[in-house]
Amino acid sequence: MADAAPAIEILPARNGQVTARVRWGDGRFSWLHSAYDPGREAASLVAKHALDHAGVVVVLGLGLGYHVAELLQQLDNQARVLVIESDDRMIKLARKHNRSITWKRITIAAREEEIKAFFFQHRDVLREKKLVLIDHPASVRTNPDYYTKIRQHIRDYVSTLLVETATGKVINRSVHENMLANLPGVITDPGVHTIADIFRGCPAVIVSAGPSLSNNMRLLNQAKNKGVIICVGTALKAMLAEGLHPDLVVTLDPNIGNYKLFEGLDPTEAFLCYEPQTHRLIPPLFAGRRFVFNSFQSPLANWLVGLYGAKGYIEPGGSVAVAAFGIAYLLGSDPIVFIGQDLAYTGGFTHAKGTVYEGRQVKPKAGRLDYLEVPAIGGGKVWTSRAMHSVLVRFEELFAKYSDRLIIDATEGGALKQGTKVMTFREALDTYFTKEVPALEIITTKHREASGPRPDVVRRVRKELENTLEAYRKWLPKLDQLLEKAQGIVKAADVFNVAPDAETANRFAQGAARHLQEQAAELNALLKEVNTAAKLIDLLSLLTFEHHLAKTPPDGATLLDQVRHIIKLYEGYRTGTKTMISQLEQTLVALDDRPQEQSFQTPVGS
Amino acid sequence: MNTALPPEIEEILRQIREFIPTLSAAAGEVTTLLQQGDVAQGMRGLGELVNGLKELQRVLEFLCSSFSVELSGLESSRVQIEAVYPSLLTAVEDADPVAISDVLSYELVPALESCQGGLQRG
Repeated sequence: MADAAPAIEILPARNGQVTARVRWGDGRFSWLHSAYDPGREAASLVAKHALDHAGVVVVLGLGLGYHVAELLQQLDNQARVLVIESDDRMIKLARKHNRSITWKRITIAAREEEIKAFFFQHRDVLREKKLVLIDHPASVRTNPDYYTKIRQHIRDYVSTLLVETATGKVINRSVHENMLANLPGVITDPGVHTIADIFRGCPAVIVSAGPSLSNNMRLLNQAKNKGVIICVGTALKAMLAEGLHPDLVVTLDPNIGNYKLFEGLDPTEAFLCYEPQTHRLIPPLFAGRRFVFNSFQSPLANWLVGLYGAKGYIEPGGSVAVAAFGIAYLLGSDPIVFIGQDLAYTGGFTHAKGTVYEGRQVKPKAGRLDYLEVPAIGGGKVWTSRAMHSVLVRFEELFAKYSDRLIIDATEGGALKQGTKVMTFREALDTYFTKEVPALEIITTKHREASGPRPDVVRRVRKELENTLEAYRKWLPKLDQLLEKAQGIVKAADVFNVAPDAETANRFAQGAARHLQEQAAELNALLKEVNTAAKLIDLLSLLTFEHHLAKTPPDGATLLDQVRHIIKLYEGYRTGTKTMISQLEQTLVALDDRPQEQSFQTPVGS
Repeated sequence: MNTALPPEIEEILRQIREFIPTLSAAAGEVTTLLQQGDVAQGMRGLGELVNGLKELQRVLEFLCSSFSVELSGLESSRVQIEAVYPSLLTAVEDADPVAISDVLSYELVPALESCQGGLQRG
């Protein structure tokens, strides 16, 4: 707290407990707890909250901790409790005066990094059980701005964490596969850093595929050659169907559904900006007209970037539209105008007409965890999903960070975004798209200048891939040996458990303990050997994501439980290694003999 | 209670006996709302509670002043309830829901119970 922090006074309560009050600079007092019976008051506060199935409980404000003590009494022992208290003095006073709290059971934090770390650490619990947020109103009143901000951030962290985990489960395998399959193209395609600042001070319009796009998309032809038109993959089909051509198309999703957005499209002269994780069938459609950007971090991605050289970092945000914004910013564009960026179910629809998702509707209901209402453009509220909300939050963070540019939301519907100026697309066009900007011509020239063979890089990448492939081939038998040993321990334990009588059981138990200890020591030695290949384990992280999410055995778990966990984890490594070997072999073949890429002039089949 | 009271006074006293538990319950509800952090609704409830208290005070004053009979305990009950007002007012002025809850739970409710007890005994 700052020097001007109000004084805290500790006083006896009428029931014999102690209570506390805050004395403000103007002489007023605010009680933190009842002056008569703080314990009873705390019980009333906690009674308000349904704690059944609570996995994580966050308490905003510690005070002297009566409500925390009450809470701990009612919670399951496994529940994680985070207490957020902005005033260090209060923490010391609570520790001194409240002996009824089991302090080991709670985490106390004030800084955002600590809070984020807590949620990350307990993300597995968050996925399975309920999050309960409890305000200690009297503490919150002492620092309302701080607690309001923290409350909002907690919602955002949790939304993002849950969406990222869910997304990761689905897409990580594809990401891995695409990064290696796209590698030959990624090495030679120019990076977006080669087009940085080429449109400084020129307007850009980012075309997304929200439902409101249907209302103002027809005006896009008036932006052509008056600024740069950047569209996300989802909106491309709708644009081309109307005879409208973007200058840049941005894509990054690794799944086959993303490819379906491009499949069978009419030819376009637009350039593709793609992330190396993009579905591998998309870049070939834009042969000779591509830029690469890097957004996503993983051991595999970082290793590959280190080999071929960075292509231009674009901050990620859970949506291709966020990447499109990053690219518009990199280009130097100002203002940056959004259309079709509803981030909400405007009119109950998910997407604009003309997209592959045309006509899809949702009917969100109050009280459902996956939907929420947010302030709408034009007043009132609009329904959105948790995933879209996390993108909205990310956009607002970026808009605050990059406030040196004018950001215009010309969506004409959907969620209101802090940090944007709201206007109609017509107004934006009339005001900012007034000068000649031959965007496609400028991009084409820059692309030509930046393109060219990079034999030295290709050689370096190939050599490193060959070395890594060889390392995996040598590692695989060691994994087999380790798993065999671990499975042997489990089987032996099963045999020792079968004993015809008590005396035999006792002898078995002694023998079993000795045998299992020896086996465990051998297993540990194998684990040490296998784990020296830290780089190989790291590079498999996208393929072993789910195995790492599996709960680790608690401290004091039996040997058998630990061994079973080891089997699960290292079976993941073994499967991942086999996949990696196969994919590295294919990539090396592709590097030696680049496949014939097919562009829009010769569309690929499904 | 004085047996010579006219029937309309008996009727008023009966209504007061019914009204006081309602006020006590309302004070409890407002306390819970404030303790649980629902200050806006708690303060709305407090406004209604204060109106009810004023009504009770008005009737008690009327009975005490209009009938020069000693309605047992009525005057002292009226004074006891009135004595709660300064601390309630201070707590409201300080915008301190904890203090308001304390006044309601530990001063007003006992005063109302005492008033009710007096009326029952009478």
